[in-house]
Amino acid sequence: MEMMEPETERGKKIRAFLRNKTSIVGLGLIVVITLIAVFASYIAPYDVRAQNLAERLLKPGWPHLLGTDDFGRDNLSRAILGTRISLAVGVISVLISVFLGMMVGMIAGYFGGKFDVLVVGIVDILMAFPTILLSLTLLFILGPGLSTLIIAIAFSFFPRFIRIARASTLSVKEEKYIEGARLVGRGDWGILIFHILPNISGPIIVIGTLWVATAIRIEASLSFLGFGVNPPTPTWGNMIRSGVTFLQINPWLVVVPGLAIMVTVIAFNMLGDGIRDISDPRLRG
Amino acid sequence: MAATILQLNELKTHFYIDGAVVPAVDGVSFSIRRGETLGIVGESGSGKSVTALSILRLVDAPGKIVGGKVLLEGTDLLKCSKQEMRKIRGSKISMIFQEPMSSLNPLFRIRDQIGEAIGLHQAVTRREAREKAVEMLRLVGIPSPESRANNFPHQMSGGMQQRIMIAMALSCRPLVMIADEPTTALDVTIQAQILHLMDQLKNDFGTAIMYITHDLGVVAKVSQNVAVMYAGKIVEYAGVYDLFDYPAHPYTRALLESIPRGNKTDPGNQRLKVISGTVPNLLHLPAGCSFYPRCGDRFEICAREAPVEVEMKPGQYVRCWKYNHG
Amino acid sequence: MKYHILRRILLAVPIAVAVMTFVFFIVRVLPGDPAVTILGNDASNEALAELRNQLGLNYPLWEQYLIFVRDILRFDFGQSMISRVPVAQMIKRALPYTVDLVFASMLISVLIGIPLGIATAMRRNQAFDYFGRLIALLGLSIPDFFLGILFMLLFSVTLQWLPLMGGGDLDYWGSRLTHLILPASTLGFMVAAFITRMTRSTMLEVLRQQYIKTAHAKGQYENVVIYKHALRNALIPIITVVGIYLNVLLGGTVLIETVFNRPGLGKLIVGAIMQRDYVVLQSVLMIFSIFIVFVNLIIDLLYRIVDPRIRTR
Repeated sequence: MEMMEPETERGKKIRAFLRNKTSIVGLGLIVVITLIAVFASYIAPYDVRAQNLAERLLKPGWPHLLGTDDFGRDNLSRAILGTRISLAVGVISVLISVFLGMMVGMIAGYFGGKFDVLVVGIVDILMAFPTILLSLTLLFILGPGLSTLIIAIAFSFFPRFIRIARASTLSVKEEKYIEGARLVGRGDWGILIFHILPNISGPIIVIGTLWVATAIRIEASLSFLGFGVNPPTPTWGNMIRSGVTFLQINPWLVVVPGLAIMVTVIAFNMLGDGIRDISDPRLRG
Repeated sequence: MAATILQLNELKTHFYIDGAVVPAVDGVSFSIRRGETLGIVGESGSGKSVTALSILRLVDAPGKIVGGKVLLEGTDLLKCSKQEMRKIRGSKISMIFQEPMSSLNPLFRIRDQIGEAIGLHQAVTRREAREKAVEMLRLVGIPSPESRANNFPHQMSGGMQQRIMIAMALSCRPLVMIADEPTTALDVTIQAQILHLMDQLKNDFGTAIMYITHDLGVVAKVSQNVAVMYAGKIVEYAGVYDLFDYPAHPYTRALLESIPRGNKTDPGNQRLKVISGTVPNLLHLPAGCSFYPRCGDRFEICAREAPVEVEMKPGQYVRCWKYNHG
Repeated sequence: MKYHILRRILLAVPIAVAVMTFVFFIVRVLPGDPAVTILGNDASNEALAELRNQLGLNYPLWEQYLIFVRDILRFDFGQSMISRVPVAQMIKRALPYTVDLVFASMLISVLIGIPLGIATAMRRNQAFDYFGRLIALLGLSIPDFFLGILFMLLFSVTLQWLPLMGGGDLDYWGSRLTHLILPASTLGFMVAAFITRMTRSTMLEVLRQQYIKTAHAKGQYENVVIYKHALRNALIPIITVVGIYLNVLLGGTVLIETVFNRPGLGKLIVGAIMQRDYVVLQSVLMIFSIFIVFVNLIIDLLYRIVDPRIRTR
C-alpha cells in the first residue's frame, strides 16, 4: 500500500470545493463577470452615451447585437457597463456591512453589559423590517446618489451581520483556548483580533458571499424604483425601469439586463453554497 | 426440538460508497427455532445491525441486499413483494432499537403509537386498538397504564420508553423479535429489569428473540445459542454453555479473556487483556481470514485463504483453519 | 404554559411601541427642512412658516412625539403632506390590495413549496432533485420585479390572457382575481423557492431519525410514514421560519405593486418616498411593522401549541 501525503485540512477543503460542480460554475461565472466589469469600457462596442435617434428601439440584430433603447443607445454596451455599478455596489455594500457588523457584534458579544443589551434590542427591531424597507427608509433620509445607495444597502444588512458575529462570538468566547490566551497575557483587544475574529470568520464569509447576491438584487430593485443611480449612467436596474415602458415594442431592453442580474445573482449563490458545503457539510441537504 | 422459524442462508448485504464496495454482511447463515433466544455478538462494524435490518429489508441506500435467502417459516422474505413485506413487519417479525428516546415519534401519544402497530395488522376499531395498547402497557410493567398511555414520549424515562418499545414490538404476537442493543443506552439496574421482562414475555408469548449486543455478559444471561460476528461473517456459532466453556475461535477466546474480572483470591492486579489491533476497514479486507492480523494462533494458510465453516460437533460451528485440516 | 402565552402576548406590546418610536424618529432624521421640500426653494418665508406651524414642526421633538402617540391611539394618522388627504383614508383604500396580494402569495408559495420540498427530499440526488433544486435556485436568484415583468410579458402582452396592470375592481370577483394572479404568482414563486429548500433539508433531517425506522419496522405504509410521521415533525421548524419569509414577502409587495401598478401599501410607500411625504411614510411603515410583530407573535404561539414537547412542559 502506498504511503499517501498527509492532507492538510485546507488542502482537503480546496479539493472538495473544486470537486463541487456548483461552486466551480459559480466561481467561473464570477470571474467572467468581474473581468467584464473591469474591462467594460474596452469590451463595449459602443459608447454608452452615444445616441442615435435614427436607430431607436431596434430588436437584436446587426450591428447592435442586443438592440437599442429609445435613445438609440446600444443595449449590449449599456448592459456591459451596467456590470460595473451593480457589481461594485453589491460587493462594497456587503464589505462595509460585514466589517461594521462584525465589529459591533464582536464587541457586544465579548464585553456584554448594557451595550450588548442595547445592541440586541436595536438589532431585533431592525430585523423586524423587510430589507427593502430599511434601504428605502435610509434613502429617504439621505437622498439619492451612488454613495447613499451603497450606504443604504449596507445599512439594511448590518443588523444581520451583527447578530451572526455576536452569536459566534458568544460561543467562541467560552472555548478553552480563549482562557489560555488570557493566561498567557493577551489583553481583551488582542484576544478579539487574534483569536475570536479568525474563528468566527467562517460562517460570515459564507453568508457574506450569499448576501452579495442579495445586495445586487436590492440595488437593481432600488434602481428600478427610481432611487438608485439615474440615467444616462446605465445600471441594470434603471435599464429595466426605462425599458418597461417599451415592453410591448422591444422587450429586449428589459430582458437583457434582467438576465444579467439573474446570472450574477445565481453565480454568487452558487459560490456561497459551495463555500458553505465545504465548511459545514451538516448544513447541506 | 422446536421447529425452525427463521433461517438465514448466506445472506449478503453490500454498501456501495464512492465507487467502492463494503461487504457489511458477507455470507451470514444461522437459524432460530421457535421460542429460542439467539444472541449475536460482535464489535461495532461487525455487521450485526445490518443483518437485522436486512431481515426486515429495511436497509437504506447505499446498502443493498445482494444475495442469500431469509426464510421465515419456509418463505423467502427476499423474494416477497413490498406489500407482503409490509404485512410481515410488526406482525411476524418486529424490531426494537438501541435508543428508545429517538425511536419514538415525539409528536404522538404512547397509546397511538402502540395502537398504530396493532391497527396495522389486526382488524380492530380504533377504540379496541387503544384498549389493547393499554393492556400491552400493563403487561410490560408500566404503572397506571390508562393515564400513562396518554403521555408523550418525552414524559417517560429511558427504561419506560424501552418497555413501550417492547410493548409495541410484541403487540401483534410476532414469531421473532429482533432486539438491537436494547439495553446499551440504559443504566445497569434498568438493564436487568428489561432483560427479565423480555425473558418473561418470551415465555408467555412464545416469541423467539434475536438479541444483538456487544456485551458477552448479557449474552450469557439470555441466550440459548450464540453467534459471534466479525467483519461481516459469523466466525463461531454454539450453544451458550459450549461457547463460554469451550470457546473455539481465537476471536471468541480473546473476547472472553478481555472481560474485566475481579477475583476474590486475586483482587484484579492483572492488566486488562485487550485484543491487539483494530477492527479492519471493510473497504480493505485482508485476503485471507479477516481476523488474521490480530490472531494469536496464526498459520500460513490464514493469510492466504479465508477459512470455511466447519462443524466441530453437533450444533457448534467455527470458521477457522485451526479446526479445519483440509 | 398559559403563563408563557400570556407573557409572550404582553411582550409584543413594548415591541410594538419600540418599533413605532423607532419609525417616528428615523423618519424625522432628515437633513433639510420638510417645509422647503414641499413648497420648494422659492417659497416665501410666510408660506414656509405657516406650513411649519401646520405640520407642528415648531414644537420640541418630544412634544411632537407625544402628539404622534396621541394621534395614533385615536387612529389619526395625519394628512398627506402633499395631497392633504387623510392618511387613514389612503391606507384604507390601499390595504385590501396588499392584503390580497400577501395572502394569495403565501398560499401559492406553500402549495408549491412544501410538496416540491418533499418530492426533492424523497428523490434525493436523482435527476428530479437536481432539477427541483435548480428551479429553487432560480427562484431565489431572480429579482422579483424582473419575474413579474416576465410574467407580464408572457401572459399579458404575448398571450393576452390576463390584464396588464392595475389592481382591478375590488367589488367584482372576476376582476379582483385576474388582477391578482400574476402578482401573486410572482411573489409566490419566489417565496416557494425558499420554502422548497427549507422543506427539503428539514425532511431529510427528519427522515434520518430513528423513529422513522421504527415506523417502518412496525409495518406502516411508506406514504403514511412520510406524510404523517415525517412531515409533521418537519413542519415545526418550517413554521418557525415562516415569519422570515413573510418579511421577504412584504418587501416584495413594494416592488411588485410598482411593477403591476397595484394601488396597495407598497406603492404608497414608494410614492411617499419619492415625494418626501414623511407623514405617509411613517404611517405605512408603522402598519407594516405592527403587522410583522403581530404575525411573529402568532407564529411563536402556534409553534408552542403544535410541539407537544413544549406544550406539556
